[in-house]
Amino acid sequence: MSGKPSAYDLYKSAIAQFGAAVERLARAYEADPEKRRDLLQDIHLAIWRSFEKFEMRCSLRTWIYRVAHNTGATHVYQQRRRSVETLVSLEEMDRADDGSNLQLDAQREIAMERLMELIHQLRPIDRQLMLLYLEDLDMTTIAEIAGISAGNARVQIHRIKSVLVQRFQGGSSRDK
Amino acid sequence: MTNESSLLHLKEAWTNQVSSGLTLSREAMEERTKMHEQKLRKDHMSFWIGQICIAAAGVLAVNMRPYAWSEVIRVSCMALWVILYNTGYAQRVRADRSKVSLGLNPSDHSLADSYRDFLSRRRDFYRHSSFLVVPCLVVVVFALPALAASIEGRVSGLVLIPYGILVMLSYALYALRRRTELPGINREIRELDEYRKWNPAG
Repeated sequence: MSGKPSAYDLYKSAIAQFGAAVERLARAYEADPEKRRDLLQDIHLAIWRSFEKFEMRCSLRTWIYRVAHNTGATHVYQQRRRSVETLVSLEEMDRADDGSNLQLDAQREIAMERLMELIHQLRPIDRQLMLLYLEDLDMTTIAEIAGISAGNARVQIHRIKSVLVQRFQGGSSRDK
Repeated sequence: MTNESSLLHLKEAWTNQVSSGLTLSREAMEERTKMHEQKLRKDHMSFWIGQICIAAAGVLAVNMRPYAWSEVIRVSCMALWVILYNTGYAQRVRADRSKVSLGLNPSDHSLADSYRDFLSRRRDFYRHSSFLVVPCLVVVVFALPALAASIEGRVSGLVLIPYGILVMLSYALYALRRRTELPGINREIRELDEYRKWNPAG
């Protein structure tokens, strides 16, 4: 057997490498467990079908993340046509103080719950950057996936970090 | 240092989430594809059935007396058609242009591009519909008395009341939505464009 691998083979190898990341991504786009299962399967289907167009002009990782984020964001638009009004930018989130800073030694589960809440409120672009940052990808890859310059990505990630620190640590400047 | 370590903990907690290890079989994929195709077919069908019903109601309304009621029904049908077209069918047709997509958007474009496209479509709906809605209303408002006179031989002021109320109500709802949504969409597009153009190194 020779030539190009089939779309299903490509899908299987992609999921073996990035399946867990895709699942985390689905969690960040849908809070409801039932709908999330559905979304995850839709992302898998989208990845499989996308390989009909995959010409290896970018890395497999970039491709998978782009397809998965696009599918997740489409799900958000379809679920909530009011998304533009209800989602907030990082600046707005930074300004909004709900007085619920967590302690340094907060339990991981609570921190994760809080993190999910925060992620679910974000606009798609900021949400994508935050997820890519949490996935621990390097700046060049983040920039390539997000379609922005590496310098821009660096600055945006820095903002994300400061929002995260303020949200997850006691002793932020707002606690004065 | 403390900040960095807490961020590391957060990242660690994030990447250590339990995974179900889901892999869909070929059969499951095909089944899901069929399900999406069926859903799309159903959407297309209900859209066209809706159109046929609307057209039929418009035709039946022609012989209604007093004439104002036939106009009320026809304007309601037209409004329904615009709503159906813009909220459902047109959006889906755009998303499903490719056979590959099934409305899932497996696009290789960056999310910034897809999101910009989504926002532009919403903005264009409000922009273009104003160009369509306002002249249409003006034309219809001026044409209706003449039309009513030619059909009924005289024009009664009462003829315009139900029609006028309907037109005003529809336009008020449209204007309200436009006013609340459009500035936010424009702002987001502007921010997104600035954000993408911006290069801290340059």
